[in-house]
Amino acid sequence: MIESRNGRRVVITGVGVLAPCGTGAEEFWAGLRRPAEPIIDRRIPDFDPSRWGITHVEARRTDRFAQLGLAAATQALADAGLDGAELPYDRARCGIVMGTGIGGAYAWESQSKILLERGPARVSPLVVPTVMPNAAAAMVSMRYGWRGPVETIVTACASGTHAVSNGARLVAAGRCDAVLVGGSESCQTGVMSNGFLNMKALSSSGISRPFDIDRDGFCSAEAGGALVLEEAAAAAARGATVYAEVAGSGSTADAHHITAPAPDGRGAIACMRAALADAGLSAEEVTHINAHGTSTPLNDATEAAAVAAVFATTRPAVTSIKGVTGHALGAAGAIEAIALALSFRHGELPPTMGVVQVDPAFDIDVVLEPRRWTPGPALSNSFAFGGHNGTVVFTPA
Amino acid sequence: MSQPVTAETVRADAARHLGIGAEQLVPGVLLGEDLGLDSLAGIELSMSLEERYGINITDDELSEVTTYGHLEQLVLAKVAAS
Repeated sequence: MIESRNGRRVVITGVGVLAPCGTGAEEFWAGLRRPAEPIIDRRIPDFDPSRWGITHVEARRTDRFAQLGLAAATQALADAGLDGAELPYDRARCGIVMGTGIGGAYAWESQSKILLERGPARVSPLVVPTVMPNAAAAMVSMRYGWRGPVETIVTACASGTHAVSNGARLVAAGRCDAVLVGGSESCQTGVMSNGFLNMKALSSSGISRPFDIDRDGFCSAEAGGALVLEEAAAAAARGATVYAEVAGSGSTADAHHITAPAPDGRGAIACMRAALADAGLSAEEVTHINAHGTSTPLNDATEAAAVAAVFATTRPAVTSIKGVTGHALGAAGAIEAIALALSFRHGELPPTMGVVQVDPAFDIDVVLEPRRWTPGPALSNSFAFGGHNGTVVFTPA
Repeated sequence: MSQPVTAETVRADAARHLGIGAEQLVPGVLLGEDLGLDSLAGIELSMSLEERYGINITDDELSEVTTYGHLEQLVLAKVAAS
């Protein structure tokens, strides 16, 4: 990273994921190659907070998004081997950056109902800490005693990607030795789901088919994803297994419209170019892009045009896992960063499921079947409501 | 209340709220040190019993409570007075 001090590099040493297509990295990876049922509202079928050490008392004071974040973090730290009592780092130099789009939507909605139906005296004293978007990061911090910067990023559907990039900067800048990054989201409440529906963002067919000519909106999803980032030399010294290096990132805004992307894709183009510059790479060196690819008419058109503009001569392989996972909003960037990390691990690109015919207007190489891939510089994109854009660049470690 | 309120019904309701076995709610058990309830969890438990039995426990009364037995007596006294 350009802002790195003393040549500090950042590597991914652990991942944890809960998504509608699978819990745990292996199940998730296998799930990315299975066609998804046509469901507009995709949930994790068998989530059990007690499996992740969440007690009854903790469960009462955490909304589902925070539980998913804590569960993902628990997996990721175990995968990295940093979940034990002995930590090779000073906990004051270990940070947490989590993202979420909304926060504790279920508590907010159920307590609003209690206020109206049963009166002010019945509103739970736990509603504030349950609703607050920083609850997931706080829960992880308390469980593991990590006391470095513990922060939450709220940039709608770019939250997860911005969490990865901001966590990586804490390591590169020398503030932290390890940072747990990720995102979690669960907000499929009556108010939120009908809000998405009435703004015509959701698919009416229940089929998520990114970049397809017949794409008709996104399918909403819940998920939790977490990655452990460490300074490369320290990770190597302790014998950690490395998925990939976080080589750079970009963050820009459209400054255009609260929900629609700038029609010329200028924010997305600037974001990908900023990420490449940060990583010290040229566009020609990139071989793969894990796209935002929501399956909405506008996002996919804008993103395809932006990718075609930045990578005009090389046509890197583009995949969107949202054909399977649906769109998990503030968790999306996290689980997509994990999918990209797993692509490095397996030397394979997951397919863009749900696609029958790629929109002929798009001049990009959409991956439709699992494809062997020699790991090389690759991007993961997120483009959010509010015009927030995020890109991270991973390279072989 | 259609059913008489007894120590057993209060214990069963409190145990259900806390997600623990009723046998753990012996009179001398400390809500904080033994059961791990912090002040927020104590308020929440109190509110749950208030709603269940149509009673009102004041902040001052709740601040005096340290054991489950004390809470149970408080609830039973409030029910008897209502």
